[in-house]
Amino acid sequence: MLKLIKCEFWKLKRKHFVSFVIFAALLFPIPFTALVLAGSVGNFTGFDAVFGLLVTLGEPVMLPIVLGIVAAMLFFMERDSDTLKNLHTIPVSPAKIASAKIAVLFILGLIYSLATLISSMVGGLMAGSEFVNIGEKVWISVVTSLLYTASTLPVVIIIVWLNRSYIFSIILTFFYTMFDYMLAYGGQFASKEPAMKLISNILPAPTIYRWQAAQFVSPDSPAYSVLEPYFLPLWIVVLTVFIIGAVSYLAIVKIYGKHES
Amino acid sequence: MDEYMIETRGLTKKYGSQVSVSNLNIHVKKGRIYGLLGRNGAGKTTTMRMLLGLTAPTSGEVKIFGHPMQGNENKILPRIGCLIESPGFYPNLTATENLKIFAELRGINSPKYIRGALELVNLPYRDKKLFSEYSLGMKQRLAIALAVMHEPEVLILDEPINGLDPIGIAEVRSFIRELCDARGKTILISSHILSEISLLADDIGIIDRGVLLEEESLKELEEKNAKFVHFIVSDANKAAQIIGSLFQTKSMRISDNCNLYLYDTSLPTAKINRTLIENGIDIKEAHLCEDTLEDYFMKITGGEGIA
Repeated sequence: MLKLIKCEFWKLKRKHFVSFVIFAALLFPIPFTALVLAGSVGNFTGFDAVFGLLVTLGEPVMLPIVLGIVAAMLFFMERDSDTLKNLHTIPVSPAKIASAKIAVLFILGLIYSLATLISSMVGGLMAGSEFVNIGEKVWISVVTSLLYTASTLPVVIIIVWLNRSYIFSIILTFFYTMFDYMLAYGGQFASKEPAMKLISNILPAPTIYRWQAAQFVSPDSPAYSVLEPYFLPLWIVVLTVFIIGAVSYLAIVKIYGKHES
Repeated sequence: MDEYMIETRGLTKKYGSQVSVSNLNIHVKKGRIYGLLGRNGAGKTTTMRMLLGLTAPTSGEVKIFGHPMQGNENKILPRIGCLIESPGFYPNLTATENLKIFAELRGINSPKYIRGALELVNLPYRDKKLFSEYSLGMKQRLAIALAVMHEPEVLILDEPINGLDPIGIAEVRSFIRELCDARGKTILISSHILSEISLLADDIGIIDRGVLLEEESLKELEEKNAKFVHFIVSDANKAAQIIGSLFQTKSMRISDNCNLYLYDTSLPTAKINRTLIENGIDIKEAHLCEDTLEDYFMKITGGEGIA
């Protein structure tokens, strides 16, 4: 499997979108740093504030969209270059190929998340703060990237299943992410409708946010009392997202296996 | 008894009600080149895809190295090199980078195999040109390099000379022959170009509309080709009567009043000429002729010729 993952990375050589994504992760903190310098992020300051904004507001939007596009690139690559037959006659099973591609998504998610952490450190430095609780922030970055990558897998099912164009995949990923995002930050708190509650509990982003909020909303802030009943412990969030990810993984592998080589 | 490296029994592929390959029984002997000859759409590629497990047969069995392919893919496929349909490579990578990926997945660690395969097809090692910038001929060469890189015992090559220029065709033909003669590889090659198959193959299978019509060695096929003497005379009917009565043969055909075909080539042609002239028949031409492989192909497929 390690060989397959290594080969998946080799295949991305000269695909400039991937390096652009990492670069974007490094640039994304600029507006948040500006916000922090303007002093408009509640009780948090400096590095804590930039990091908190990036992890709760930046990554939930950027990471799924980026990974959705990269997933389309990875899963369409064999179809577009007609290489599936070469892989099958080695032989490499479709399940292993699909697994390697999903592993690449997780690794890229991790790289993106760590790049975000590094750039938030630079932003924090500009805001004049010292680096505190680095270990905890690395931990939060890693967990956030794993959770959001797993949360992208349902849309990857549709990308692989429909096997359409890149544009279609980008639009699909964008709508899925925005719907998930809006539900996480507004819908799940605003609506009392049972259907909305059910969707909020099924979709990954609202669930992840209920753990993130517990980390980043200060008990002194007015929002705390509103959000506090929704807080979830990490193990419930991990379990929920793991189930979503595992079911999605099995579906992707099954669908990809049916692609004609 | 010959050892078959590739053998199929009743291999059939149906797409809905359309039969693509029907009850195919091919036998590829060790250390020989087997040419699968047929028109476009005859079922050659489908057959090769089924041999490699890329397409599941509707019924029948594929045996390679004496073992059923189904269930033994992990043991059999690493011993096979193949080129199926158009060359498939990553357009954003160079030839060396492309081969490196497949070498890595095959567990080949030494770059000498990649270099050797590229040299064999006259492509440069570590060249900076991307696959997307390659000509069709270069792409085809790279696909052949991929097929031979891991030194397989059996090669399955689907139309390997597609897109090659005449010099490239001669080169590919030469190294395919060398792979068989010098390195003992068993090669199954398909083509719709009859002359290529006749120049390269030791054994030939003729496939038409999914049915294997003939499977024999090239030598046997050549022996089967009809030989005849073609006379162009002033009166073919009268000439046929004379030859029939004086030389005791009925093995003749008249196509029109001037053309007479005598299939018994053991008869003395000079004597026949003299006899015909003595009987007042003018002989404009007399040739000893032989059917080509193309004539034979037309005869058994009951249709038009092949390129």
